[in-house]
Amino acid sequence: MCERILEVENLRKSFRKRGSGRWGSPGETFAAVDGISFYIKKGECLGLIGESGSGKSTAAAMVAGLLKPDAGEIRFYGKHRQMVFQDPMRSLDPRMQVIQSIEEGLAYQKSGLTRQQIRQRALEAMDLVRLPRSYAARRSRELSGGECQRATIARAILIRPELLICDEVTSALDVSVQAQIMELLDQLRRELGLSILFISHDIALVSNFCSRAAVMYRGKIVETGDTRQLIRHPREAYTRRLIASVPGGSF
Amino acid sequence: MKDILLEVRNLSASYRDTEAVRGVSLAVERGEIVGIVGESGSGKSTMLKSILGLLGRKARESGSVRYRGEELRDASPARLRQIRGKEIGMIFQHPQLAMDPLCPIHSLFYESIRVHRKVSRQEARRQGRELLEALDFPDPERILAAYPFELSGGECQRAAIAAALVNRPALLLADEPTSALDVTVQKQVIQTIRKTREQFGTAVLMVSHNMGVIGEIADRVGVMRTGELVEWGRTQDVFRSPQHPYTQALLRAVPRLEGLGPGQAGAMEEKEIRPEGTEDV
Amino acid sequence: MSARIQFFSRKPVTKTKGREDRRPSRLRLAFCLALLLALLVLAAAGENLAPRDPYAANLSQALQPPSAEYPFGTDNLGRCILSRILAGASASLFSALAVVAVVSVFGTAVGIVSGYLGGFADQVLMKITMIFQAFPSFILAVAVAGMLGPGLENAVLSLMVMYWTTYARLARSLVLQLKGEPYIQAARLCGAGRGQILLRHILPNMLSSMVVTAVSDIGNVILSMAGLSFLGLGVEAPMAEWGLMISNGRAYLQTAPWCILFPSLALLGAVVIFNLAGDTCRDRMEQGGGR
Repeated sequence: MCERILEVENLRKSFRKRGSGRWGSPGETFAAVDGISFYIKKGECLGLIGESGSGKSTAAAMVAGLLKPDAGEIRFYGKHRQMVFQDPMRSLDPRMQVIQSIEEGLAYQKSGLTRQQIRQRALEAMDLVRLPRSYAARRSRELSGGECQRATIARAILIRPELLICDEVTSALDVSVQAQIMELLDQLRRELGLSILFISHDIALVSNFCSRAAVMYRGKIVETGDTRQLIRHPREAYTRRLIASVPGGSF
Repeated sequence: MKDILLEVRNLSASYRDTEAVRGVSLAVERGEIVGIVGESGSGKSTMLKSILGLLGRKARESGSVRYRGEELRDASPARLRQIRGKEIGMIFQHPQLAMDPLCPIHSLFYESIRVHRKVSRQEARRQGRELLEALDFPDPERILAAYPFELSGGECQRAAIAAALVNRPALLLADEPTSALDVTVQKQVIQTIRKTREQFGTAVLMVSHNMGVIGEIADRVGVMRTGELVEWGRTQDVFRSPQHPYTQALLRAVPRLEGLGPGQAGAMEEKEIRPEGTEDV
Repeated sequence: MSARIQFFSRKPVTKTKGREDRRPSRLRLAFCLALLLALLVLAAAGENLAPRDPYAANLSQALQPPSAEYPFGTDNLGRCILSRILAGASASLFSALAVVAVVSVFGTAVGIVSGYLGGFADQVLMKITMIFQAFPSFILAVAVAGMLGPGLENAVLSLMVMYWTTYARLARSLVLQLKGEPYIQAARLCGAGRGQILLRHILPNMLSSMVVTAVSDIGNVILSMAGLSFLGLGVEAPMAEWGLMISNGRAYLQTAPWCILFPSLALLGAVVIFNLAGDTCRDRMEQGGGR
């Protein structure tokens, strides 16, 4: 039996509708995440597929601990979890050197490491994500999108988290860069034993990298299971629609 | 057989010190859908704008753009305005940004016709309804009465396509028309573009970074890289046996649905795809 | 020719990827710094540079036109206008600098607290700010100065009351905007506390906007200060101050226009120099990262 690194049960989060609920009245709410449950096994990459407005990013923020859920439970059986965001350029402080941004991964922790040691770790992380050390002193605007994303991944893995949450990490990138980043994530997963929650709107991308996948639609997980199985025999109409929408069936 | 609508020869365009487009030559035949794929910075959008003379004075351009044999580079601004919209329509990546939020969709049709000929509002609205119907909108009246912000991204883009067709242009230029949309909506826009050709015989020159979208819709494709057209040919040929290493790399990089053979995904329940707003989950 | 146009042209403030090409030229930067420095030296050493005693009245020499002896002429009490302009520079400029310094720090602090804490604190602080903004700003300054009575210190205080709200609101909106940036979220995930995020990310990233606003505001404050003095709510009578000099000169506009002309020119010059400095500062700093 495989060990689980994360269990999520009946997670809920509602937001107030825009423009309602002023002057102290509770206002209308809508459920961005409406009672979802899933789990991630150790060393596994779980794909969470959904289109805009499906609540997948809200779910990601809650799993990462950035947002407090209204209800439900997140059981994380590890020490650290980290997250990589969609927009690589904005994920790095424009005023900081890349190396300083990467060091942030440990800088706020009581790790007992000296500054020199943290710098050393950060440089090693740069090697790991294949970002040339000569980029250390650059700033984010001097890097390409893919390079920025490598830097944010380096920051995220610096503390050696057990779980990495990737929220649409490649959708701002060109396909060729996307392939490189995906390859990198897959390699990190194998080498560091990372578990990954991979959130994406691209079912084809998920099918390539995740052994299991969950499909989210309007705040709910409508279908979950083995990725190949899910794609070959989708049970839900929405999953079928997603699959049929993948362009390029002709080649 | 050769009925060339648009012929671009040796087109170059540069801003300040960067050459965005370098010696691109291509042709669009009547009723043909031509797709140009390229990654960011490949110059594909600049090329599209350059064709219609929309780059402004800061850009330096050279080469020839012939529309039905007429050289657009030498055309007067008045003639260019006449051609834009009437002969060559254009749609953009973010239709909502390209529409005036204060004007409902039906006035978009009115304005589009009005630029080129006199028409009453009722008449424009009627034509708009016909177009929307022809493009398989289930509820044209709701679309016509709506303001851009009341429509979803996909509806907006499809309405924009309809509005671009109102003067029956022979050619439609499309700049990343599906890139801002969700995949399921993307599919609908692709179908609308296909329908456009079926119904009106409109040729389309479409630019996108999405290989899949282009592969699905185009008869002929060009691959652009750093301003140059590195590959050009019939879609099947380019996608089946790409010649240029860059095209090969690009095709390899596109993620494919694992577990399904080629063609299976597209074949999977095409009937499931209904216009937006269909509730089935 | 083209160099001159380049020199004064207002650069668009859009952020571009081309890094160096839109920054103000070194020449323009040096020019601005030189002007600013000259102005400050003048203000600091003004009284010592004055050819005559700015307060020595000599009624027999009243309302003399500009001459070799009195380059800018004399006023109704026969005082040397040039000397008075030089002596008044410190009152005008340093009080403005003091106002901007205090107000930008205080306003920014209020804005940061409001934007960063949010919730109840934000509501209360922003309501207070709105109360101050409910009055036309100069009227508010006049009212406060009127209540406190004339005098340089009171004028400075009333200008502070008038100017701090801009900074509070600007700082708050910047904080709110920055708070949503993914790199701030990432820092939170890395375990950074509120204070650390504030010091390491938010403050450095809002600094350039605040500094640009402050520098551009100096000119306005100088004008407001002169305005208060002109109305008799600023410095008191014998003291040399540009606004007061303009006010006094008003009576002799037709007979001795130099009484009003030269103090006005001094005021104009100072305001233009500070505005130019503000623009240059903005062009330089708003090029992403500000380095």
